[in-house]
Amino acid sequence: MKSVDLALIAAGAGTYLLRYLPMAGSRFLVRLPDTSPLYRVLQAMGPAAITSLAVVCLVALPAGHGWSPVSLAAVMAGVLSVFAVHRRTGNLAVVTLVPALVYGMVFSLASWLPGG
Amino acid sequence: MSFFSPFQQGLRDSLPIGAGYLPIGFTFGVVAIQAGLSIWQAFLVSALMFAGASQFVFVALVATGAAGWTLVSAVLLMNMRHLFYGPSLLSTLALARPRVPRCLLAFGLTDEVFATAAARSGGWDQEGRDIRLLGLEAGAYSAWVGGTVLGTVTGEQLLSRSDFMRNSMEFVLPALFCALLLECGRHRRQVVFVTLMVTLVLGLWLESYLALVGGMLTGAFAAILPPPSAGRARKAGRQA
Repeated sequence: MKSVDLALIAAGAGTYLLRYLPMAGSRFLVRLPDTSPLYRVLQAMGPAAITSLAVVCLVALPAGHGWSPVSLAAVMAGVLSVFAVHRRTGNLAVVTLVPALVYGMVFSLASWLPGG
Repeated sequence: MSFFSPFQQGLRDSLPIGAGYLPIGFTFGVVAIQAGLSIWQAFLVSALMFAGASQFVFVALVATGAAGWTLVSAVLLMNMRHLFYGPSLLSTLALARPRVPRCLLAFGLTDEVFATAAARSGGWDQEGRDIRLLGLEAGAYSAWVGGTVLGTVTGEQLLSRSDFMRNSMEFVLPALFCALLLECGRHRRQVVFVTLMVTLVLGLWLESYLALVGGMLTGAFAAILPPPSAGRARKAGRQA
């Protein structure tokens, strides 16, 4: 077996253990009182992770396009359309896909402009 | 309660994640082949790791000829944040009578699955929440592995045909995170604000995955602090 094959099996097993071991060792969590600091931290972990992931993903987009004005405009249009569509519908698939199309459209429009 | 009803609901919940995973898994398939992996190896990376960004790092390092231990440690360092997802989700789901073993639930706990479950599980029926989570994970996993297989087989020809689709797909996951943030961040403004600021500041100096972990942990611990309004109320009380 090649070293790449061994590495991918080890990385897969390691990633799984990172996910499983804390779950296996936390049987007491379901009985934590609402007022305990640990309970409050764990409850806040979801919104904190989502915020952090959103920031990292949004910053990576214009960075990946060399911070071009078009990519910044596309990100702004995309984020604004998330707000707009979210106000109209609670359907997560629609709130996700429509802004993605808006984002793509900004790039297409920019490429049709003179010099684009 | 039957197994299939909450499982199907979970599969339905996974549609937005699947819409994001399919094209990214597809891109991963293309990149893996370009980096010199075989179709079988690209499939195994997605099937065994199921961990987006770290897979791209893995194939990038393979392309540079990095040693095996470098590959493994880079992946594990990037996925270190997953340590916190399981305990947090167990606390949120508050399962009275779990029916799905934790060893099975743990496998599919990616960023997007965790984010969706953390934001939406409050509205799920108490009975069968773990089965619905399993459905969510199964849908996401199928899209990811399916996308990878498609990418390895047909990738390069399809991506070169439509710039519009390629650009649009870039924004699917950021849009998902923004939408989830609108759903669950409303009542957690202090946590959101601290996380946002810390992630942005750390991102100026650190790799994005480290900024992500730093921002996430600092933001979560901000939940212990009293909200600013409580401080103002105490001050007003003392003045009165």
